[in-house]
Amino acid sequence: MPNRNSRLRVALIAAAMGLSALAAGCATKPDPADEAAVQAYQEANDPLEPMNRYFFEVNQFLDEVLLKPFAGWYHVALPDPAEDGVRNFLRNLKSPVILANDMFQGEWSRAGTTVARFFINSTIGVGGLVDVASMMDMNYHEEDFGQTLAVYGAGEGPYLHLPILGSGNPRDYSGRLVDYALDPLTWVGYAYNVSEINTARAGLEALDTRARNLEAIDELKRGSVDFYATVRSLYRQHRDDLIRNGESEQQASQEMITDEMIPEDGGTSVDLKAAQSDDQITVAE
Amino acid sequence: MLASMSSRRLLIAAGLALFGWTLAPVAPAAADPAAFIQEVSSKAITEMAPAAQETDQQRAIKLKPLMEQYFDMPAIARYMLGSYWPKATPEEQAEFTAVLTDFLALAYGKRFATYTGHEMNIGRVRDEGDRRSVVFSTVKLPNGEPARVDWTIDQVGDAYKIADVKVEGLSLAATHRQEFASVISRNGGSVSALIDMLKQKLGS
Repeated sequence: MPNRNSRLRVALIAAAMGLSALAAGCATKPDPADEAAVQAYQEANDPLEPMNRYFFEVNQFLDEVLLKPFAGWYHVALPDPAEDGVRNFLRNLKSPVILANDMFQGEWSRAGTTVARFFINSTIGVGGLVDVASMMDMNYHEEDFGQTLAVYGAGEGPYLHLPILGSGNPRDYSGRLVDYALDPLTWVGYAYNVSEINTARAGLEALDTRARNLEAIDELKRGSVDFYATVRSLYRQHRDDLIRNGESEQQASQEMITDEMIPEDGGTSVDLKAAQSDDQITVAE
Repeated sequence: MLASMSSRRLLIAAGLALFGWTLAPVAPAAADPAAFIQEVSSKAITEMAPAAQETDQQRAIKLKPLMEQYFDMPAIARYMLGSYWPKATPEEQAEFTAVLTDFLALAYGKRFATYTGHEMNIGRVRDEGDRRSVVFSTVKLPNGEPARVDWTIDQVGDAYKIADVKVEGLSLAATHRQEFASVISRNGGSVSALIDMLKQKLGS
């Protein structure tokens, strides 16, 4: 990435300013007497909200000036099949980390799929550029150490939005570090003094993901009355879905029978089922 | 940088939520939740067929009666306001419910055209008890990848109504609930501030 250094510098400045934002204090806790506010505060699970919002704005700015324009050019310049080739290649590179986490979670059948995909796509699929395996009904799936931690019962912790890195939480950020260490390419980069390949790969991943979501993100931003809160919610729901490997959470939804939706008159006229809607944000832990 | 995958899927959710796919026509009376979802989608295809030179507002006007007919808007409004619902005055509750319908019709109506002509397969139906069930379906996206779409259906009186739509695990109701709660709490617990913001979006 040609702008790596300037990005880094901006990130450092942003980090310094963010730390002072952090020092300036966390989110104001709601008045304990105000039940609705307390509940909203807990549901948001975002005690560092002022700092997170600050970094969110920084990232929005970086996105507008750097990532989005690059992604736009990339999207225009590359025909769709080439774009898919890039994604397939990047996904294939992730196979060792996915496999390790499949095994950590005891998902042996998924581990088998990961191995088969890797061999099929790396050979018949021309080094990973063509996803031949998915044509044979072996579809791609994601796994990472953040999910592994969740499967072992680790809580997500409060929401954390960091410069460049974006949405996360302590569990998922720790997971990313472990995945980085698990990845053979990390060590290839160090051993042969070509750690640029990892930077290039991260940049390309960001570019690919952004290019695929140009319109979607714009529309979401336009339609939203609080884009930060929307992104925070979507991040959690998406992680939750990945952790459950896309299975629906019957038990979780049954645990969600709460009385929060019952109005003070005892709910005589109210359909209580609304209170049980699948709110997977709060049931994650 | 953003939760990009997620946001994309929500948009797809949005498009699909608003039934942009093709289905074989079915009998009009919904005998069970799965048949109900089929009915909703075939109705949506005829009613929401894209016309040339349509504005977002025009699409919203087309979509609104379908939402009022097939979605449990009062329950959705209550769920989305969450703990602030009991705090709101009856007037605010009524106004919020009305504005919300317009807001969702506008937000999702314009995405229709993008998501027409997809194949939907209805899978199993899970009884959640208490007159609620979830209908699982998959929709083939234009890029050929299947997306999971889960419909939460409530039996209200003798009719079925949609209470939530989830695409790839992303819930329409939960996402807006979080968004609205954030707006209200940042405005000192004022529900009318949220209503004003939604109206602003409608005006723009």
